Amino acid sequence: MSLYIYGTVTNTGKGFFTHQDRLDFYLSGHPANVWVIGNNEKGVAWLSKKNGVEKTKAQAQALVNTEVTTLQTSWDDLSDELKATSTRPTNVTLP
Amino acid sequence: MSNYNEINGLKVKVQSGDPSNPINGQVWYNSSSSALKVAEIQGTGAWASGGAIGLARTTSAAGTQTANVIMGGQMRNPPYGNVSNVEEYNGSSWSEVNNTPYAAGNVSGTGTQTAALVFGGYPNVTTTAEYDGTNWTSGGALGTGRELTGGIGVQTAAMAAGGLIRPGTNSNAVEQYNGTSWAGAPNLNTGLYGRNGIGTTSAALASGGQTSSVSTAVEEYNGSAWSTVNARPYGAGSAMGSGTQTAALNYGGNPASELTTTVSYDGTNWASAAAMAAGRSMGGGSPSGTSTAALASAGRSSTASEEFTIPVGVVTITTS
Repeated sequence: MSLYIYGTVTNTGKGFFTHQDRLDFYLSGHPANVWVIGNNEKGVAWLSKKNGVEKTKAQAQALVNTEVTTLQTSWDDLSDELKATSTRPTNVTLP
Repeated sequence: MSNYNEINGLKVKVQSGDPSNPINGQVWYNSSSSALKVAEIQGTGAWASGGAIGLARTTSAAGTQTANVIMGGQMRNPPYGNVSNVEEYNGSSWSEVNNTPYAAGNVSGTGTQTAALVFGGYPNVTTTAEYDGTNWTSGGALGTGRELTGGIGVQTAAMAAGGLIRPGTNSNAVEQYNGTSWAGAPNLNTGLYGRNGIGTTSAALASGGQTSSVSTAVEEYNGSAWSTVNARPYGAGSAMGSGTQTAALNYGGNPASELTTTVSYDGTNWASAAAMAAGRSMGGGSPSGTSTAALASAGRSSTASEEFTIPVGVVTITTS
C-alpha cells in the first residue's frame, strides 16, 4: 500500500482541515489545489468528505507542473524591478 | 518550602470555577471543587486551516492568532505589483479595512491589530505608517531606508533589525522607534535580510535570514547588546514568527521553495514542531501572539492561512 493518496480540492478556509485532521493523517498542499494525503482510513475519508477528486500521483504531479510552469512564464515576463523583489517560482516534486 | 507568592509575586486566585481560557502556567484555587489547579500544555500542537485572505500577496503582519492584521505587500502572481491593501482577522474570517498610506514590496510590520506599525520596503523606502485599528497616520521616517527588515516590538517601542539596502548591502544596522521617531540602536553581529523578529526592545530575538544563501543564525537582544545564541534548526529567510524571546515559534520561509517547517524556541534551545500543511514564505505571522497560538497567513502566492495551537488543559495539583 502506498504511503499517500493524491487529490484536488479547493481550500475553503476555516475548518477545511482541523488540528485533529493534522494529527490523524499526513496532509500537504501544493499548487493547482493538489493535496497529498496520508493513505489511512481517516485521510481517505477526509478527501471524500471534502468532495475532492482523487488523482494518481502522475496526474497530480502533472497538474502541479502545469501550474508552476504558468507561474514561471509569468515571472519571466516581469519587469526587472518586480523581479528584483521576488524569486522565480521553483519546481515542486510531490512526495 | 517554596512559597508561590514569593516565587511569582502573586497570590493564588480563588474562584468558583475554572477560567474559560487559561494560559499555560496559570494557577488558581477552585473553591467549588476545593482543588488547586494549573493550566498546562498538553500535546505538541498542530496546524489547522484558518480563514482565507482576500488578496494573495507577500505582506507584513501585526497581532495575534485571533486578532491579526496584514498590511500591504506585493502580489507575486499575475497581475503582480505592490499593494496597499490591509485585511483584519478575527479568528474566523478576514475583512478588508483601510489601506496603508503607501504601497511597497518587502515591507515590515509589528505591533498589535489596534496599534500596528508598517515600515520600509523596496527600494530603500524610509516610510513608516501607524495604524490604530481604524485609520492610518504617518510616522517618523527610518534613518536608512531598507526592505525585509525584522520588525520587533510594539507601535511605541519598536525595532527594525537588519534588512537589505539596495543595491546589495546586507545590513546589520538596527533602529529603534519610540512612537514618534527612529534612532540608531546597537548593531546586530551579522548583516542579513529577511530575519524573523520577535519580542520587545528589551528582550528581542532575531532568527534566520539570508544573503546569497540562507542562514540559521540567531541573535538575542537584552536592551543593550546583541549576542549570538543557538542556531535555528533550519536556514531560511523571511520566516514568520510568534511569541517572545523565551517562548517563540518560527515557521516557513524561503530558500528557493517555500517551507512548511515549524520550530519552537524556549530561550535556550530549538525544537521541531508540527509542519504547516502548505509551504509559505514572506507571509504574515502573529508577532504579538504566543508560541502556543500562532497564525500564518498569505505569502508569495497563497490566500490560505493556518492556525497553530497547542492545547492548554486543566490539571488538579495533588500532593502525591
